[in-house]
Amino acid sequence: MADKGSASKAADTDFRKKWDKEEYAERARKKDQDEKERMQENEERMNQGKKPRKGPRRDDLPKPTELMKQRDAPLELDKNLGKTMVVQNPGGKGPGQPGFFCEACNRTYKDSVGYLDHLNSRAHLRVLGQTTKLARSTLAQVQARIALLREKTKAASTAKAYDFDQRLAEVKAKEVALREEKKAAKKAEKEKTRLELIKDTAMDQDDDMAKMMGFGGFGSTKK
Amino acid sequence: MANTTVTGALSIHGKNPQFLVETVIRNRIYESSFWKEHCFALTAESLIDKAIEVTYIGGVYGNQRPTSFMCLVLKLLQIQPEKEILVEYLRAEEFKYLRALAALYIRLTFRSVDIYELLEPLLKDYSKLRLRDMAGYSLTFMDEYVYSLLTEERVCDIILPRLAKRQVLEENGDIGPRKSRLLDALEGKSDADEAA
Repeated sequence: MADKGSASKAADTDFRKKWDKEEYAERARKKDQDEKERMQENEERMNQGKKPRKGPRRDDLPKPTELMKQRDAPLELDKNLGKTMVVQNPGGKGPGQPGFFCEACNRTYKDSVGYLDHLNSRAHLRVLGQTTKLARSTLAQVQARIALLREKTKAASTAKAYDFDQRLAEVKAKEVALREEKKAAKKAEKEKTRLELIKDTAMDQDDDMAKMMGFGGFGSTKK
Repeated sequence: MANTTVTGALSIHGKNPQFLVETVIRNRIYESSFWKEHCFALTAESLIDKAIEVTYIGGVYGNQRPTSFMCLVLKLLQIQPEKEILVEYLRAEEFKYLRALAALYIRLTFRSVDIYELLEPLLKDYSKLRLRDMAGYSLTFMDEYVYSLLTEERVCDIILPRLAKRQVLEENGDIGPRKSRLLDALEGKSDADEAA
């Protein structure tokens, strides 16, 4: 134990990773500095009667710029419903864990209600860059939207009526195909049972008669 | 923040507009997944898309579960769109559930004179509406629904604010006399008979 310093003068330790001691020393010094500042701040806060701050200051995110918008893509909360998945490292964080995972904030939630609450929360919106103000819709926008939807529903209904005949023909063709399939399946079944029957009877006769009489049996061997 | 009324909203009947829906039902709506998932950050424009997908009107059903219709009513109360937008909603004749939604909001928030003026034309509309309540699904018609809005106290589990009697408004001169569609139709018929 006393000679620990002069122990390893060996030359074959070059494969080991070299760390930049300066950089990590600097980092550790900065961390200590931050801790000291935090402790000083906490003292002040205690003197003022406020509670002490636990983590680092959270002013890092830029001020949100966009107004609150709807989510673009559907959430698909039930895409994993009924599925069984293997969890890679139990008790860790990240997208592998069971439940709902929010990538922006790096948090998992065990149920959909909690997840939805988080998605609508101020903290998450801050990460996305949205304020909690809502954009007002104008009358013109509403009118345009109603007109658009009217066109869409009209187009959908006309599209349906248009290829009614075509769909009728398709349905008929499908029915015929189904019937053919059933027939083919039944035929295959019959063939199989017939073959098996022949094989069985052939086997019996071969066994008994051949031993005694020397020939196969009285039935025909025609297939 | 997700459940607070928009800033700068006017008070309706002297209170926060969202309080027109009773506390219990309001909290059930706030906790429902439809509200959290689909009714977040809806504007008057995107609300139309949701309203079109509604297939039944109603208050609560099952185990005090709010309908999506109810959630959209509360959303309208929360964002409080302008009056012209509501009138625009009423004019979309193909989307009857959007119309029903607008009718309920108008009954809750507008003045008596405006309510009579805007909702009486809807009495001509005979389209069918599906009503879902604690007893299951039932059939009703748009004109029956609007009539219940004008005469009854409770529609879709919401207590409706007081509406001045039509007679009072007519005596004050705010509104013209009631134009009955039946009377018009009868007059039209009798003219045709006499001519023939």
